[in-house]
Amino acid sequence: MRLRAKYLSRHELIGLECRVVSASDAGMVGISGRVVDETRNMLVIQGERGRKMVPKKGTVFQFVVGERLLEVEGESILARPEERIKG
Amino acid sequence: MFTDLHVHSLHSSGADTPACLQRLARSMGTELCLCDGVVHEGIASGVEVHAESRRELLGDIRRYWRKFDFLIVHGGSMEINRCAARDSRVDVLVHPYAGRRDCGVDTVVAREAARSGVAIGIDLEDVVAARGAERARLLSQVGEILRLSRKYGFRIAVSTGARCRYALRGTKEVMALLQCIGFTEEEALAASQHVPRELLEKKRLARREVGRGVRLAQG
Repeated sequence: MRLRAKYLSRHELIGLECRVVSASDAGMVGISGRVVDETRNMLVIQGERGRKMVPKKGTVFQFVVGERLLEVEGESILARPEERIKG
Repeated sequence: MFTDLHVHSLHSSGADTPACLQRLARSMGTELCLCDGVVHEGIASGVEVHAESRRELLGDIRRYWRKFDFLIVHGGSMEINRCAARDSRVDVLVHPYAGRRDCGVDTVVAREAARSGVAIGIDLEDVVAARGAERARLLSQVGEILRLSRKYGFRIAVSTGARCRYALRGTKEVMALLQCIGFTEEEALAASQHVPRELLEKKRLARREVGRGVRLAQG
């Protein structure tokens, strides 16, 4: 299925390249890599330094979709992935 | 720094050029935003909507809210005040008390404004320019808005409503005037600096939005 920017918050995120641009925990900012797993409250990002679990709440993620760079509010994807994509 | 969201230049009902106002505002330490309904280069530009009916107001909001950095609604009638307070695309509802004996903010407007994030605007020029009984009435209306804000939690944004360069105010002047009216120091700081800046920032993010919680990254 083609990924459209408008529906990114309802799309499967596993496999996408992602970067944390702002977070309530400053130590999380800058984590980047591929999303390898997702739970209700967390995204698991596989980076060069291993896997990092980043909470969705209070975090802004940056995804590359096609040629566009998109920012997603963690609160808008705060749901179990199987529930979230039902929309 | 005081952020003045409600200033008119000669592109609308004002008397001075944007460059002149900008120069003076900078010397006073004020961040100037013009609401002429014209996009100015290098100055935050907004529009002030005057509507007679709810239908007209909604049409104007739809037409302008993406185009400008902020959108101000000129209140007065209870129909317009309620409609503007309910719509989260509106940034500030100014003069809710225009042409009224009460302050134009009742419990319904207060609750809706708190829920949707619309700030209630107070123009200092109204208070400064009024004399005698009219000033007393305005001060009591502002006091009532302040009381409702404390009770219901909606935000207040203070601006000058300046139509010429002589009506522009500096940060310290505004803070002092607000504390004379009855604001505490924190409330005066929020109303004159934090809230207007938050409104501009909110709009900046909203204009980049492409879907629910998704926006284009800067750069």
